[in-house]
Amino acid sequence: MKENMKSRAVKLFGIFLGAMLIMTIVSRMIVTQKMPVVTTTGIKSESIAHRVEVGGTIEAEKQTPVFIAEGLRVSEVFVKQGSKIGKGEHLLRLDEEYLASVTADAEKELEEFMEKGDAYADGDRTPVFTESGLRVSQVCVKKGDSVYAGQPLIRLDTDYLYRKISDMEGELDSQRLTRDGMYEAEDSRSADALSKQIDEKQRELDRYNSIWDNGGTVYSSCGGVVTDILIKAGDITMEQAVALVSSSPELSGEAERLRRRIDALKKAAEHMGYINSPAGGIITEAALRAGDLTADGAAFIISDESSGKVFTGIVPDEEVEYLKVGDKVSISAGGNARAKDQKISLMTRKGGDGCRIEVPVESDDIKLGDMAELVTTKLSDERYDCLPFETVTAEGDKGKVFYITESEGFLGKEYTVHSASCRIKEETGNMYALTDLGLTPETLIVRTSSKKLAEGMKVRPE
Amino acid sequence: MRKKAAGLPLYIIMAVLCTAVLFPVILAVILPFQAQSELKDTLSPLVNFTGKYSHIDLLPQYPSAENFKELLVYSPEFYRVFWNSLLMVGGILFFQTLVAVPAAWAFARAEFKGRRLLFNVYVIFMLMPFQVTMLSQYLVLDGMGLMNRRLAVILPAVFSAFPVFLIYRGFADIPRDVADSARIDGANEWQVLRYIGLPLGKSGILACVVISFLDLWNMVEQPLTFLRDKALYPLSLYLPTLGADRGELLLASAAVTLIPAVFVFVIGQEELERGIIASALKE
Repeated sequence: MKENMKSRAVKLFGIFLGAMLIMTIVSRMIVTQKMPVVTTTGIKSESIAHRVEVGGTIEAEKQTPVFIAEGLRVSEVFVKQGSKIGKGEHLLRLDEEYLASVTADAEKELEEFMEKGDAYADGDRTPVFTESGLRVSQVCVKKGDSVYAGQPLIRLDTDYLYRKISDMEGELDSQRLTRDGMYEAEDSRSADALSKQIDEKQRELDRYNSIWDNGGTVYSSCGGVVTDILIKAGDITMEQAVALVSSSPELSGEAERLRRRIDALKKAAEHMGYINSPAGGIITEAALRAGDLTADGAAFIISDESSGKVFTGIVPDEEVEYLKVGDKVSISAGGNARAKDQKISLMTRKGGDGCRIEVPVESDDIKLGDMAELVTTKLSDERYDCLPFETVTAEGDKGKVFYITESEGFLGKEYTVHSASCRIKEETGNMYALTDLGLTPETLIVRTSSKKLAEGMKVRPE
Repeated sequence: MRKKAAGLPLYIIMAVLCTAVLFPVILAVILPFQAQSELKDTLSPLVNFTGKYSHIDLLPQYPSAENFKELLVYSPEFYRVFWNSLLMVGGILFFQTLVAVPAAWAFARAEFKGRRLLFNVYVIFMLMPFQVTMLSQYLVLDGMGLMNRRLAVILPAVFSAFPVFLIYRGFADIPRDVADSARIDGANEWQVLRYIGLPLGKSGILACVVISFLDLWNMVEQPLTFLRDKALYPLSLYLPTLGADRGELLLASAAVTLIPAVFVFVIGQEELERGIIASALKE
C-alpha cells in the first residue's frame, strides 16, 4: 500500500515538474507577447536653430510725411501710391467752401475760448494795482490785448474820487483840531497817537490826489499781453490787482492747438485749397481719396529714392532677443527678389509693442513700397535637451516623455517605463528643444512603442 | 472501555495542539483561493495598520483560482526562481551525497589515527550556525571568484557536516562481520561499500536526502549572502520580495512552493522514519 502510494507520488511529482517546465515556456511567451516592444533614442544636447521672420515694408531712408489739417473735405487727389512727384507739385485740392467754413468755425471757437478764460498757460504775470475803495467807470482793454508800458487800462469815476478826497480832507482838519486840543491839555500821549493816524491818512490822501492829477486813469506798469481783467465798470476797487499783464504770454494747450489749426487752414486757403508736395520723390503711402475727410495722421508719405532703401518692421517682443544691431539678415520681397547679408542698422523699443527694426537694403530687385520679410536663423547660446517629435507628447508648451530604466530582475535585465514632464522651449527641425527634463543624456527615451505605455510598465527594447 | 475513556482528555489536548500547529498551513492553502478584492481586505492591516486586525474567512466568499492564474500564467519570474531552487537543491543533494557517503563510510569502518578526533571536529562544525562561518565563507568564495554565482551556494553546502553525521549513524549500524565476510570473499573496499554499505545504509542516506531537501528548499541566509542578481535567487528569497502589497501572488507562490516539499516528504517518508528509528536504536 505504502509502496503504491510512493510510486504514485513519484509519478505525480514527475508530472508536476513536467507541467512546471511547460508552464515556464508558456508563461514566458505570454508575458513577452503582452510586453510592449519599444525603440529608444538618446537625448541630444544642442543649440537651437531659431528662425526669425519679421514682416515689414521697404521704405526710403529719407521720407517726408505730409500732414493736412484734420476734418477738411478733399475735392480732388492728383497722385496715387507709387506716383513720382516733384517738389511743389500738387498733391490734392481741398473743398474751398468747406475750408472757409471750417476756418470760420475755428476762429469763433478760439475767440470764445479766449473770452472764457484760461486761454493762457500759467507763467510770469505782472499784476496792476490801484488804490482800494474807488469806483471803476471804464475798463479800457480786454483779455488778449497787447499793451505797452504806460497804456491806460482802467478809468476811475472822478466824481466819486473827488468826494472821497473832500471827505478825507474834512476828516483830517477835524483830527488836527482835536490833536491841538490834546496838546493844550498836555495829553501828549493821546496827541502823539492821533498824529500817527493823521500822518497815515495824509499819505492815503496824497495817493488819491496823485490819481486825481492823472485824471483818474490806471496805467499798465509793463508791456505785454493782458492775460486777465479782474474788475469791471461800476465795481469798487479792493486791495488786489485789477489786471494781469504777461510780458511773454503762452497760450494754453487747447488754445494753441486752435491757433495752429487756424494758421494751417489759412495757409491752405491762401493756395486756393491746393496742397503741394514739400519734397520730390515717390508716393509710398497715400491715405486720401476724393470726397474723404482729412484725418489726424500723415496723408501722404513721399520717399526720396536717391537716399537709399530701408526695410522697416516691428519685431515681436518674444523675438527681440534673437536679433541685434549689426546682425546679417536676408530680406525678401515680391516674387524672388531677395537681398542676402543685409546688416541691421537700428533697433528701437516701441513701448510694449515690440521693437522697430531698420535694415538698409542694397538690391535693385527690391522696390520702394514692397511688402517684404526679414528672415534669419539664430543659434542659441544655451544648449537644450533635444528630442525627436515622436518621443514627446506635447500639450501647449508642456510635454511628457517616456523613458526606460534598466534593472536586474528575476528574468535578467528588465526594462521599466517611467514618464517625465518637461517644458517645450522651441521646435527646431524635427526636434523639440526641452527644458526642465531632468534626465541624463544617457537615458533611453522611448521613441516608438507597439502598445500604449504607462508608468511602471515592463517593456522590451527592440 | 475505562481505559479508552481515560485517554480521551489526552486526545482532546493533542487535537487542539494539532489544530494550532496546522492552522498556518491551512491558511496558506485557503487564502490563495480568495478573490483579489477579498484578499486585499484581509491583508490591508498588514500593508497599512489602522488599529484594526485582519479578519480571516476560512471559507472564501468568492472562491477563485485567479491568483494561481496570475502566478502560473503571468509571472514567468516565478518559474525562474523555482528552477533556480530546484537546480541548487538538486545540485547540493547530489554532490553532498557523493561526498558524504564515502566520508561517513570512512568514519564508520576505516581504522586510522585521529579518527575519533576528526569525527568530533565534524560534529563541532555541524553544530556551528551559518552566521558563524558566514564571513569566512564569503571571503573564501570571493577569493575563488564564485560570488554571485549559483556555485557559491552549492559548494559550501556540498561539504556540510550534517549529512556525514547522519549517514555515519546508518553505516555504523551495519555489523562488522558482514563487511569482513565480503572482504574474505575478495571484495575490495569500494565493492564492500557498493554492495554491503549502500544497500544496508540506504535508509540513512535517503533520510539524510529528505531532511536536507526540506532544509535546503527553505534556505535564506546563504543565497542572500552570496547572490546579488535577482535572476539567481531561489524561491525562498523571491517570496519576501513580493511583500504584503502583492499578497495574492505571495500566497499563491507559497502554496505552490509547498508542493515539492510535500512530494519529497511523501516519497521519502518511509525511509525517513526508518533512518530516524535506526539512529534512535543505535543511540
